[in-house]
Order: sequence, then structure tokens, then C-alpha cells
Amino acid sequence: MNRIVLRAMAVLARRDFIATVVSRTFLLFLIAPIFPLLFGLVFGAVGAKVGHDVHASRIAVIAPQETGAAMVEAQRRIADIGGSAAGLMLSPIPPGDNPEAQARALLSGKDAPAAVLVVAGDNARLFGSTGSAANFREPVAWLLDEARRDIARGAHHIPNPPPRRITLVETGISAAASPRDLTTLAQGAQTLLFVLTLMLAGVLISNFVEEKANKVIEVLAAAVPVPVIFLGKLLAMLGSSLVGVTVWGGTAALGLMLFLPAGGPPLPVPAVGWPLFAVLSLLYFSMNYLLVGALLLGIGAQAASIRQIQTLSLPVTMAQLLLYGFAASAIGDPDGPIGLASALFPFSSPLAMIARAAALPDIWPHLATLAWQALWVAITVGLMARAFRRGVLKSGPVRSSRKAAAAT
Amino acid sequence: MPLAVEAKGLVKRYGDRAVVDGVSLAVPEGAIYGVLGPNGAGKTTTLRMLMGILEPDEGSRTILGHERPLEMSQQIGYLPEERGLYPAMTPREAIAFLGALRGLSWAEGRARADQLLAANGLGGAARRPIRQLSKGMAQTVQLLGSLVHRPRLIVLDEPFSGLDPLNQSRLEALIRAERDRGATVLFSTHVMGHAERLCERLAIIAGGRVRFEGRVDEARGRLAARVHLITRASGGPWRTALPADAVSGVDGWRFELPAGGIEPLLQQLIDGGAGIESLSIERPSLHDAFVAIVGAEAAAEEEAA
Repeated sequence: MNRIVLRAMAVLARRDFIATVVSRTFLLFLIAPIFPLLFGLVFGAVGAKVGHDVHASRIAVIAPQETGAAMVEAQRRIADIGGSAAGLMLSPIPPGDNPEAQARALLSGKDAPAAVLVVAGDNARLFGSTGSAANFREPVAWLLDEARRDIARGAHHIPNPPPRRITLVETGISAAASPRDLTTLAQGAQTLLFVLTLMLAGVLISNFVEEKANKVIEVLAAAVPVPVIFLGKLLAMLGSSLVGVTVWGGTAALGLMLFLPAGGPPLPVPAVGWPLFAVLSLLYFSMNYLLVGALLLGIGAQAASIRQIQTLSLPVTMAQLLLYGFAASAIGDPDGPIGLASALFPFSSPLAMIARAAALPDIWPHLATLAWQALWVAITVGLMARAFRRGVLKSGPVRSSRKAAAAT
Repeated sequence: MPLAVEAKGLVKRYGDRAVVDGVSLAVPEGAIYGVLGPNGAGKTTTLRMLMGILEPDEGSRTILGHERPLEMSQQIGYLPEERGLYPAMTPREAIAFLGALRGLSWAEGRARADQLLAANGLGGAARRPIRQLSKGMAQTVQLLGSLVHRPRLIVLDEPFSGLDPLNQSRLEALIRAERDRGATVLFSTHVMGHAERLCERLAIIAGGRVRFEGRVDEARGRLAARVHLITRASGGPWRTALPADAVSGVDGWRFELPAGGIEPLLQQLIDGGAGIESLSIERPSLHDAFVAIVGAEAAAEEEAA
């Protein structure tokens, strides 16, 4: 694509983006999911308070018995006040010969705690998986402070009060996450990706209605190649959707900070780590949106009326559910035949690969499949544009100059 | 003279029916060129093929020297037969948008839109949504949108339809101004008056084929001039001087101008005692030429339309 065509695509995308985002209906679109989200958070917070013992993050404390008891008592006392330490459940464990090995064994074992605090003399170390352990540093430090105050008041008779500083010892990516945790994370990420795409890309099926109704399509087709019109529309709607996702994500984060200051139950760390997982989630959402969106845009563009579009919506949704089912069936075995097939089939690939990112740490398959998916976005847009030229504009395929000359 | 548009043997079929059947056109650069034809003649399909919206099944076209019209998109302005604008946009934004699609910057597009709208009596409506404008105003906005980037080639499909006489005159002036600027203007119409006043060359299309291609006077030259004669005498030897095709009506005689000219006939009528009250030579109009070229059947369709 040359610079002129890219510029025309940007002009079209800008028009569609502004027409979508700068409208009252978009405000409604943004607000609509926020209410259920807020209600969910409010009720979730209530539920978390009521049942925090059940859902609290378990921290194993390998420390002298008195120190452990002081921390447990401090935690009980402040549990009702709330705050970050309220969501913790402490499990004091007597220290063995090698507390560090003991901590690592606990973290890699079955039903591993979220983190392990080792207190020995004036040394306190918090063991946990990379990314996750740091979340517990502040609430654990708070508990240690409280325990120290209690000791200073004479509530406990301990010759050596617990230390002030905590050293963080990260034991590696997802070391704390069990296979079951990672499967849950993979399912969650895949479902979220699917639901977001289903919710947001669905509008693309009716995206050409405006141009066809207003007869603008001929003006556009005379100025810009049809695939560029398709890409412009897709990018505009992807942009609008990302605005929506950002607003909802931001609202959810704000809600979590307000209603669940302890952050709720800790999430297992994805195999590729949180930062890369976040980037991959964004990329796979974009690819899934563009792939499904290109299909929907093309199918919708063929429809002659709103009635036809409404009729098409159900089979299209069913097809998306099938793809979701296909990708979901491979979660347990991403390198098995179904896993590979769902990663290779372009329309299930983003869903399969986000699940893989949660479970397996290798990076190169993601680079390869992202390129593969981008290729299929181009292929799908090309095919849909050709179908549009034939079916709607009643044109034939664009002939090469040589063929045209030969025909004359 | 270099050609702005050259089409050779364009064919477009829908099913078994050839809507355009071997159309060839040669539009010189800097000319105002008309494509005339009755409804359903294939004018719009021909223009859509020239614009690259439709691909021809056979034949080739060259637009400003390029075989693919979209490659020259920035130098072409196009007004389709089915007008289309986003109704929520203001005229100013719509014109800037159409200019931006053809490579103009938004800022430049808005500045030119303001000028064009003011010059065409729409300055007051520049910031109102298009949905609030009349059909004629919206049509003018779209026309201005096809001119905003100052294209080398302007293709207008039935630009006069839907305009009142005042706006039709304004559009004629605008087309002449664009030609004077150096642009080539190619437009389709089935109203002969516009073509007669504007076009240097034209093609008459009917049934998907070009029936005539050339200058307006050449089209009119296809028909002989006619003589309208009114005499005081109703009978006499002068009657033998009349040509065989002379037809008598309530307002006198009508016949084709004889091949030998009017003077010998005039002498015979005077000598024969016709008592000439009036004699006029009527040059055929483009309408007459069109009717003769396209045929009575197509003319009837045009009348019905």
C-alpha cells in the first residue's frame, strides 16, 4: 500500500471513528456495561468481607512461634478495620533447619500459599513468584509493624522483635501457580477475549448499512480501493472498541481499588509474565476483532436490508461460539493436535494463543501466529472486498493491465 | 491533442445482457465532453467503468494516461448519479472529507470549502447538518466536494437532474469556469439543452452502443436544414417547384433544404406567383439530431421520462 492509499484509509477511519465515538449513543454504549460491573464489584466486596477467611490470600509465616502468634493476633485485630492486610490469612509454621528451602518447598508444593514470609533473627524475607510476591510486601510489612508495636506495649514477651525491613525473594515466573490455576487463567482470558469480541465486533455486520443507505459507497469506491474502505472501517471500529475496553478496564480497576483495597484473591501469574501477557492480550484482541470483524463486515455488506442483517446475526453468533468451543477444547493440551489446529486455524487462533500465553512461557509461537493472523486479516479483507465488488457493486474482478491489454 | 479519457471497446454484461456493448470514447484534455443518451442507454455504467468502480468485461480505458483510474484518484473529481453524503456531517466537513479522500489536507479542504460554499450561495448553511438542507443544496454540496481538490478531470453523472433552473444555470457557469481553469469535464445527461450550450464534443449512446461521436455541429450536420414557407397563394404553377418531400400544414409548407441551395427554389417560387409571405431556414437542433440518431423509440422513452 502506498502513502496515498494509507492516507485515504486514515481519512475513512477518522470519519467512522469520530462518527461513532462523538455521539450520544456511544456514551450509552460505554455506560451500559459499567453498571453491571459496579454492581458486581459492590456485591463482590460485600461477599469478600463476609467470607474473607475462605477467599483470603494465604501467607505462610516461617518464624519463631511467638513472632508468628504476634502477627496472627495483629492480623485478627486489624481484620475488621479493613485495608490491605485484612485480606490475608496467616499460617504460622515452625522453622526447620533450612527455612529458605522450607519456603521454596511450600511454594512449589500442592496447595501452595500465595507467599511465604521467613523471619529469622533481624532478617525477614518474603518468598513468592515474580510479580505476585510484591503485592504482599506492603500488607505483610503492616502486620510486622503491628506485631512490633504489640511487643513494645508488652503484649508479647519476645526477646528479639521482628525486623522492620522485608527483603523480597522472587522464586521465578508462575512458580506459585499450579497447572490448575493456569488452566483457570487461560479459560478466563479466552472467555474474556471471546465475550469482548462477540460484544464489540457484532456491530460490524451492520456497518455498511449507512453507506449503502446514503449512497455514499459509490463516492468512496470511486476514490479509494474497496479493500482500503474495508480496512478503514475495521480500524475505526477497532479504535472505538479499544476506547470502550479502556474505559471499562479503567472503571474496573478503579472499582477494585475502591471496593476491594486488598485486591481480592491473587491471580496466578501467567506463564509469560503479566506485562507480556497484557501486551499479548491487547494484540490478540485486536487480531480477533479484525479477523471476525472482516468476516462480519463482508457478510453484512452483502445484505440488502436490516431485516437480512438481523437474520444473519444468529448464524454468525453460532459460528463464533463454535470457534470458541474449538479453541477452548485445546486449553488442557496446547501442543496437542487440537491445540495446534486451533492455533493454526486463523479464526480460532487468537483465542487459542491467549490461552497458550497463560500456560506456556515460550514467546516465538506468539510472534509466528501474530504474523499468521495478520496475513489472514489481509486475506479476509481482500476476499470480502472482492465479494463486495461482485455482489454489491456488480463489478468484475480488477484485471491486470496486461490482461486488459490482451483483451482489447 | 492529448486525451484525458480514452475508452476502447468497453463491454459490461449483467447475465446475458450487455448493458454496455463496445463503447469507445476519446475525450480531449481541456474539453467539455457530453455523454448523451436516453434512460437505460448505458451512460452511468460507462462512467462507472471509467471511474474504476466497475471493471469492464472487455475493452480497456485510460484515464489521464493511466489504466487504473484509482491510481489517478487525486486528480479526478466524480459526482455519481446517486448522490450520497453523510447526513450528520456539515457541508463544510463533507467537502473537506471528500477533498481529504482525494489527497487534500483537512485544513486546506476546510478553507476551500468555506470559499466554495460562499461563492455558491451556501455560506450560511456551511455549519448546518446536511440532513437539514434541501435536496438541491445537498446536491450542490456534493458537486463542490467533487471540485474541492481542483482535479484535472471532472466526471459528472447527470449533474443537472434535481436542480432548479437557477441552479442549472449556475452549474453551467461552474462547468465553464472549471474548463477555463484547464480541467477536462465529462458529463452525462439526457437533456439536450445543456449539452448543446456546453459541449465541444459529445457521444450519443443508446442500447449500450455509441451511435455518434464528434462535435455538436457535426451531430446537427447529420440532418439537413429544413425550410418553412408561408405563401399568400394557395395554388398555381409555383407548386411544381416544391420538392417532393414538401408537406403542407396549417402554418405553411415544410421541407428539407434542397441540395442546390435556396436561391434557385426562391426564384422559381417568385416566378410561379407563390406570393411569399415568409421563408425561413431552420437549422436542426441537437434534439433533432439526437432523435434521428437514437431513433423514435428511444425518443419516446426520453419523453416519458
